[in-house]
Amino acid sequence: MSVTVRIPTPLRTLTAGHDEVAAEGATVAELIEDLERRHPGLRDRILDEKGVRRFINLFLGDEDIRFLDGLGTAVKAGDALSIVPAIAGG
Amino acid sequence: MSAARGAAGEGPVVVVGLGGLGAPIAMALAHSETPWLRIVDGDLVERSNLHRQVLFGEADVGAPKARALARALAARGFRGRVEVVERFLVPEEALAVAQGASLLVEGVDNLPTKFLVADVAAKLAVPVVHAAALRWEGTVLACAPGGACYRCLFEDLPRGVEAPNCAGEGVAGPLVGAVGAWAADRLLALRAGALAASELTRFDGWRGSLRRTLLTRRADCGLCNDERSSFQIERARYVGPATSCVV
Repeated sequence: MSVTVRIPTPLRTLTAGHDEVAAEGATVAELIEDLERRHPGLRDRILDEKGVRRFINLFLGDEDIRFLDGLGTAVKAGDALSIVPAIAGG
Repeated sequence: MSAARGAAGEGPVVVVGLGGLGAPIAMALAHSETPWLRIVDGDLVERSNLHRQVLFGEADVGAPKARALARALAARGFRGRVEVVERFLVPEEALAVAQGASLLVEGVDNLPTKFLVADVAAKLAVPVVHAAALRWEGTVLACAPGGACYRCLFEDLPRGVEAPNCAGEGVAGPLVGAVGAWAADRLLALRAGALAASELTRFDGWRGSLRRTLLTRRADCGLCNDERSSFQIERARYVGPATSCVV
């Protein structure tokens, strides 16, 4: 199923500048694998060997996936996954 | 005086970082019956700042931002108390600089200082708002008393990893005005005791979208749990990439 993934500014170099891209999968983990296929390098910017990098948050809709089932959180068509990294600037 | 003022105490509102975010935050507070501001920044006004740091003008170029902002607030009729700290917030004196604060807000351009402000807010048990902007994207994290904190969301600085350099990303001028105003709005809500939970607002200034998310405390957040009273605010805790982002 197709899910919209919102790409934060620092990662748009990997998505040809697109702020939203599509990804397929039944879980957040599968979405990230599909993102990696479509936009190589993205997975390693989101995940490390322990899971989601600690200075990044993934929101499915308005829900932090840490309070759902983490990377195993099920997604459905039409969902939106937001990647929210720590940023600084002003 | 508004009834809301006393809800978060009578000490100063401490504003850390007086660039594109901090200046509109301070201005909004000054026009919102805030009697006492403490403004903190060791940076100087540069000509390249002026497109987004609209309280500063050509005459301020080269001046300390804190001093220039105090002048700008006075010129706009603010008659409250302004304490000017012309230094960057550093671990060695952060607690002293924030001492007595009723509220904390930061709009700094580096992640170590964001974590430092979060820790100081926890140590002093002061509500805090964190604001950030990068290109057309902005975030405002308003941390309600007893609610999720910055470390609940972004656990710690990365260590031992190569951080991409985002220095060239820039910030859109109109965005910082909007994000700064919203950060001030959330501060006023905190001051009024109107925020029952911490919340994250994400702006997409290009698409014109805004999303607010209520946050839950992370169960294993050290800052929200027993670590709060035991950790020391020392430089080693804030060693990390002094860049705008770490992904």
